[in-house]
Amino acid sequence: MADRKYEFSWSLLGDLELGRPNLGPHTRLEVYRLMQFTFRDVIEQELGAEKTDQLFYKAGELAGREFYSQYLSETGDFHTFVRELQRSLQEMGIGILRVEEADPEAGTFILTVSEDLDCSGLPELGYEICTYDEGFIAGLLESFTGGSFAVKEVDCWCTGDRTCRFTAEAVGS
Amino acid sequence: MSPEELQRATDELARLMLDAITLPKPPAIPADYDSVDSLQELYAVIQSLRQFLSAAANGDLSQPVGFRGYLAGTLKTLQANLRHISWQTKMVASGDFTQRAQFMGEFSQSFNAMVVQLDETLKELTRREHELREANEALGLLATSDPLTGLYNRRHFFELAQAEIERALRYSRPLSLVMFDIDFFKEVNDTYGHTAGDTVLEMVARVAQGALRTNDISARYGGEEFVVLLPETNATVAATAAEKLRSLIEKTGVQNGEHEIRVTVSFGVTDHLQRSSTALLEKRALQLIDQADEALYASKHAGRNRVTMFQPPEPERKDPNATASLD
Repeated sequence: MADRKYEFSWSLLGDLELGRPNLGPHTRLEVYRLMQFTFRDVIEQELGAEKTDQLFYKAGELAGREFYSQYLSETGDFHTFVRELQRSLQEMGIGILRVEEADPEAGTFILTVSEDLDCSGLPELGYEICTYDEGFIAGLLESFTGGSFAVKEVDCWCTGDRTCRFTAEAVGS
Repeated sequence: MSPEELQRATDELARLMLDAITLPKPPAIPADYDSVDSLQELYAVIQSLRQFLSAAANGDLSQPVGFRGYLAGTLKTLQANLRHISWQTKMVASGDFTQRAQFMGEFSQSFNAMVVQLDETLKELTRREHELREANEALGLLATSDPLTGLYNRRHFFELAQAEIERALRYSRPLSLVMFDIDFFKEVNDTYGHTAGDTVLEMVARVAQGALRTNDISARYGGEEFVVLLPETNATVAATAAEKLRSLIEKTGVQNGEHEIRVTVSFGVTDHLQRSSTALLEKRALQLIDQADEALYASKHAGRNRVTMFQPPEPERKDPNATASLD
């Protein structure tokens, strides 16, 4: 697509020290969720729920890849990658990552994220909501392994659980 | 339904649920309630809960939680945390001592303390193993070396000499032994002191090490006496090497305060390994030593500061004291 207006680069996040000398780089979680869920609402009205989920997954993937490039590209082995990822997600208030199962060679993982940025504390809706996080995790794993991943949230606050659980499987060869 | 019937039905249902929770084997729902979907669902939830908790209590974390809601979510969080701890434990077992449990209260504290202790213990064991290895190496060195000169000691020389003698005999290879002795060493000690004497011994050993080949075996045999075993070498070549060494030592001074101490060395050389003999290796080594010693004595007798080759006695030799010498 030629002449894109909104192509992402990390520099678009700007100089926060320069831009917010008084308020600093932090804001309330409600502000983040306000933006995300209003986006969902409007996009769903325009394109339908399924397309909305696909777009959020894709955006999450992009975010995951960019996050990896920015903070995790120096990690070598899987143990270091997990440790650094846990630290980064916690420091940035994204969530508390834990590994239930991991088989890097087979490309299968089961991860949980507690106090998740998107959904922790949300009311029960009867379906999983963290499609953006699914893509985010896929983007991280793809960046680390070089392969493609399909990530699915199987437990969520919105399904009545108290931690988000994701399965990840390598796809293709 | 009358109030009494309602009371009775409610009581029956409540007791049924209590039994489902408390009894080892839960009772079946009476057929009267087959059409009550909410009751069937509640009963299924209790069954699922029983299965999950029973499995978890026996360490099986794979049992799914077959219902949803607050209670299910809490149980699944517990399950997820325990699975994560299991994974972390595997990582620790594989040597990753950076694992730390978080936000799990007392369990986190205990797990983390255990990992830290394991890490420290392993590091301490590694450090001790290293020290032990170094100590063993030093001990090995003490057992085989002369502490002053760093050359082999007499005992170890004999061990090595026997191996070389065996090899020379098996493959019919030449083998020479050189014995040398510092001339007038007692006077050096008497004049300059024993510390200066030690320095002279160190110098002689150092010059010898530098002049000889790496596979030559040199040792301090006695106070001021040294031996060198030269594999693959006949007496003529060994005598040439000895002469070179003699000259080097003669030219090397040892500074002692304002004085420079100079010494000379006398040599005896032999390669007369008695191949027809059936003597033990140790005895053969002693025979070589005796021969070299005899030649050394001849050097001393002829004026010192020289190399003499051992001459085996001839049956009809008229002068038993005649020996060849290199001046």
